Amino acid sequence: MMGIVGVTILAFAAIVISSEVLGHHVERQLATIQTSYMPKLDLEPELDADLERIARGFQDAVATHDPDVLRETSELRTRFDEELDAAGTAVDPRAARDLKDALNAYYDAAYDVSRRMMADETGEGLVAAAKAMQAKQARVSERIKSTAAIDRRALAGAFAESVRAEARARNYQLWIAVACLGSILGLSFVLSRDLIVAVSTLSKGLRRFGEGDFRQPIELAMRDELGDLAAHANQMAASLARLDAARARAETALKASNRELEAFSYSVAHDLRAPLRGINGFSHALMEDHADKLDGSAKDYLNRIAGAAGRMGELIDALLAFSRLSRAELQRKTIDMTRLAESVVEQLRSSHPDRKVEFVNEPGVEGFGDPTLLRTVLENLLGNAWKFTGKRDGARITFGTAVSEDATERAYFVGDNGAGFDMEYASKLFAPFQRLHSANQFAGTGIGLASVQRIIERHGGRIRAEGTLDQGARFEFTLPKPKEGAFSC
Amino acid sequence: MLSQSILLVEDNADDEILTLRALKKNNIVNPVIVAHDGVEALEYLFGTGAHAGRDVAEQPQLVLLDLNLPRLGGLDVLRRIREDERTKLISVVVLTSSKEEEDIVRSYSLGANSFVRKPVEFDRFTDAVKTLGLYWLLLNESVARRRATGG
Repeated sequence: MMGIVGVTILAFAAIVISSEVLGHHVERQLATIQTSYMPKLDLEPELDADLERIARGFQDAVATHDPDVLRETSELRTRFDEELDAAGTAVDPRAARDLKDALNAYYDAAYDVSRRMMADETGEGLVAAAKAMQAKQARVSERIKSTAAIDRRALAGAFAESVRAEARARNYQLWIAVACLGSILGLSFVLSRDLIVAVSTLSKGLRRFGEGDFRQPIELAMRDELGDLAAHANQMAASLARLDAARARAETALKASNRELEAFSYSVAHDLRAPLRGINGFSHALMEDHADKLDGSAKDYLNRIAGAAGRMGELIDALLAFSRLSRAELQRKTIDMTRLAESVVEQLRSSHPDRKVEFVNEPGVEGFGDPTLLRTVLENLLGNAWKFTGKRDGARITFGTAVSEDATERAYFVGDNGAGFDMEYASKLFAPFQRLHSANQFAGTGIGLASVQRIIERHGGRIRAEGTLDQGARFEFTLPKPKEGAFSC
Repeated sequence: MLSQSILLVEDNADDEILTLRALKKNNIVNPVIVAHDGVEALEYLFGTGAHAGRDVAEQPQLVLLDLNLPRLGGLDVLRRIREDERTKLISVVVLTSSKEEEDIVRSYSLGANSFVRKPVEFDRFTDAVKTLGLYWLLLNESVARRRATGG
């Protein structure tokens, strides 16, 4: 960057200096024309006029016989000299001297002739003097011509030279400008090539970081802004690598604890169930094989033993199923929720053919999630609605969509007009093994809603319950919509 | 050649008693050999160890196999049964005690013919036996025996 700025400054300086130098040359040429030729342009007629005035001065003096007038001619001569001097260097000094000498010779002769004529002198001598004087005047005229004449060829030459000089100056400027531009272009090409290489190195490195590969830092030996950027990116990558390592450790720990949990669940299933099978099996055996020796209350106790054991088995199953919900991989698909609800209710009807329940199902409801797990959700919610409307005439269960405040999710509800619950205990609804009704009123493991909540949360949704004791309950849950382009087939 | 016997591989004494009782209740009176762990089961099937010298040409009609066994697990026993020419045709019904185990059997697909949840649920047990094509065989045998003894 600094290189380009430097070269640009140098180029401007070169252009300014060169134009300054060449401008001076042109100006010198023009000054020569001004000093050598301009003063001469009017010199000849002026000197001629002066000479004429001097001659007339003498004639006036002779005509008037006034000695003052004669004396005044001296001023006219001075004026002639001054005008000649004013031409300065434009006039060759030797020629000027000759001209002055000629003028003095004429002036002296004219003065002498005029004085003699004013004295009324006549005769051959005077006539000769007058002729000599006229010759001298003619000589002055000639000298004026030769001295003040302008050498037109030289003037044209000088003018042409100045024009040529200017043209040359323009040419030089052009070439200097072209050279400067060329070097700027060349330098910026070299610099931009470095820049492109640097940016590409940076970009590759950042992409590597983006892909989670932090092993190799970005190597960019530049001491400018890009070098700083690379250094910052490397710092960021180092922090990310530390975080990544920490996350990997946490993940390993989590996996280990998940494995432990699985092993624990498995041993719970096994070790708790084995004695249970014994209790259950032998009470059945006792009942079947020795029924004749048992009275009514003994049979009742045996039934209770078997029932309790069976119930404990169910609880163990439910707990295991619940823990399995947290581990199973989600297989999300677009699901016809209406049909799913319908099939769950059909199942309920077929297992409870004695029940009369009105089911209001909203058509065309769609959902996006794991089909097996969402079936579990509806089985539990509709199953609960079924169960808790068991003591109601005109039982009615509703499934449909609810209003969602968030555009990225859909909301659903399952409502019933059953036993309901006290909102005071609503927070306990979703905790495992929490039940709001006694087992005598409504059977259940107390794990259903906990499972539902776990499933909905694993999908990234929420669930809440509203209820009024003896009026009914309404469960509302949300499921995120599929992300753009993530529609499943 | 397959005999009419059943090999029950079960380490839990209560389950053993209940299973034997269930078989009897269902009129399945084939001789039942009980192995108490995986190693013992394989020793019986291949005539080694405690069962050295047994005629291995005579193999059980059915193996009722528990999964969670000491020394050698049920799935390993199953694998060995399917790997060996002498035993690979034996019907194996896996005894499971939870849905978890049923999932394991499904995912291993090691060639179990069926599985039955413990304690033996007799409706399902009979179904399993039926689908194996063994039901009538077992039943006929039991019927034949009953006739022989009763007649």
